[in-house]
Amino acid sequence: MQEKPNIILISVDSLRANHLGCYQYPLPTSPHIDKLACEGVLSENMFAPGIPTQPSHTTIFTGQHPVTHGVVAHGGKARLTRGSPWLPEVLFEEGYTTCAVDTLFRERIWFGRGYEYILDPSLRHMFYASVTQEELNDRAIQWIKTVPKGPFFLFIHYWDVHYPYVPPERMRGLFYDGTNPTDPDNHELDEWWHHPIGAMARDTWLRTPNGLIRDPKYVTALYDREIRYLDEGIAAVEATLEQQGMAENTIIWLLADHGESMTDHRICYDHYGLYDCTVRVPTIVRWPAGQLRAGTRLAPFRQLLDVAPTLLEATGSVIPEEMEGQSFLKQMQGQEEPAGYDRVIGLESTWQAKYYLRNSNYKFILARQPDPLGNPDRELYDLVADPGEDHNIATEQPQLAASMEAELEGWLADKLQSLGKTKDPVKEEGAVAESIWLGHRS
Amino acid sequence: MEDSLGSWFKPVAYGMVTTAPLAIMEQKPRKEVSEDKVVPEPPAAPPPEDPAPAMRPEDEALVAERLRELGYIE
Repeated sequence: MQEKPNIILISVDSLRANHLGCYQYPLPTSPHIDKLACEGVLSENMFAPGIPTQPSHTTIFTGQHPVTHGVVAHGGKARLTRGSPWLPEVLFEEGYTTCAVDTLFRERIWFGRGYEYILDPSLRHMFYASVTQEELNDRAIQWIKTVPKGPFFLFIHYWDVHYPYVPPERMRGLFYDGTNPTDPDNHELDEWWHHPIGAMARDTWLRTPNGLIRDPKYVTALYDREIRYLDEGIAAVEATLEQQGMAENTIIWLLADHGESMTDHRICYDHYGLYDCTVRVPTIVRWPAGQLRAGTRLAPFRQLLDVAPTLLEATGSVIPEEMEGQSFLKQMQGQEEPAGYDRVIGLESTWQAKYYLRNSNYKFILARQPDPLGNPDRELYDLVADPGEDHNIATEQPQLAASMEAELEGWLADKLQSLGKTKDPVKEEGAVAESIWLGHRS
Repeated sequence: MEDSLGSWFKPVAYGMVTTAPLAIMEQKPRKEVSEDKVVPEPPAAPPPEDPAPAMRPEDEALVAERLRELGYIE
C-alpha cells in the first residue's frame, strides 16, 4: 500500500449539523453519513469562525482565522494574498495529484490555487448552486477511477443543501407531516418575502402548480430531502473507493462551511446570523488505515482552521507556520486526550456585520452596524439554560456582557497588532449585501 | 489554565494553543439514530397534496439575476 493517504475533502454547503442523524436529528435524513460517522470520528463542537461560503472555505484551506486572511465577506472587496498558505498547494508540492470538483474559483480566483485538475459541471447551470450531487459525482467518480498512480487530494463541493431546495421528484412525500403546504391562510413566511432571498424564493422555486408554498414545515422538509439526496451521493463516492480498493487508505473528511437557519431567529432558510444553527458545523472523518478510533465523538471545541493542519499531519507534511489551526489527528487516533479551544471568536460581514464570542456556557454577539432585523447591538445567551439562543440576557446580565465584549475587543486588538493591521476588517467591509436588503424593503 | 487572551497566541504569535480542560473530553462508543430504525424510502405514489417544487429555466435565470444584484455571484 502507498504510504501517504488519499484525501477526499467533502464540503456540503449549508449543511446544518443537527439535521443529521449522527447529530441527533430524529428524522432519517442521513443513513450513509451516519454510517460514515460510526466508522470514523465525529466532532461534536466544530465551529466556523467566519461565514458564509467564501470566508469559511478560505479558512478551511488556509488554516487561518478570517481576521488573519482578511476574507470576511462573501462577495466582499478583500482578496487573499498570494503568500497565504493553501492546503492544495502544500499537498501538490508533496507529490499529490490534486483535483477540485467545485465552482468557487469562478467567483474568487484563489480557490483554484494548487489544483492540477478543476472539474466544474455547474457551468451548465445559470446559478452554480443548482448543480446536483449526481452531476458532481459523474465527474468525481470518473476522476477517482482514472487518477494517476500516487496519492491524490480530491475536493468535492456539494450544493444540494443550499437554496433553492429543489430535491428530485422521487423524494416527494418524505419528512412532511402537514396537510396543506400551499394553504393561502398560512402567513408564517410573509416576513421572509421582504428579504431579497425570500422574495427570490417566492418568485421562483416556491411557486408550484398547487400555488405558492407557505408552510415553513414543508420548506424544512424540502431541505431535509436534499440532505437525503446528498446522502446517496456520499454513498456513491464510498462505493467507488471500495470498488477501486482505495477505501482503506483514503481519508474521507466531510464537513460544512456553515449551517442553515430554518426559521430560527427570524432568519429564514439562509446562512447568516451567528447562532449555533449556522456556526456549529458537522465534521466527520473516516480513515481506516489511519487507526482512527471508530465511533468516537470528540466534544472539545474545534474550528475549521484546524482542518488543514490535521490533514497535513496525516500526510506527514510540514505544516506551514502561517497556519494558525491545530492538528487534532492524534486525538482522533486516541493517542492524545481530547482537548480544544476554551472559546471561539468568529464573524460575518455579508448580510450583517457582527462578531461572536462563544465559550461552553455563553455566547456574546456584537454588531458593528445596526442589524436589519432590529436585533440589539449586543446579544448574550446562556447556552446551558437556553441552547436555542432564544432569550437575549444582555440587559439582565450587563456585567457579563461587558466582560465578554472586553474579551472580544481585546482579542481583536491583539490579533490585529500581531498581524500588523490597524483596521477592523468587519468594519472595513461592512455588511456588503445589507444596502440591497434595506433597499428591497423600502 | 492560561490567561484566556494569551491562550490564543503562541509566543511567536502565529498560532493558537489548546487550553480546554480535559474534564470536558468525551470519548464513548455510540449508536446512530438510523441503526435502530428502518430507513423509509420515499413513497411509491407521492401524496397529491405534495406540490414538489421544480426549477424551470426561467426560474433559474431569475435566481441568478437576483443573486448577481446582491453580489453573491458575479
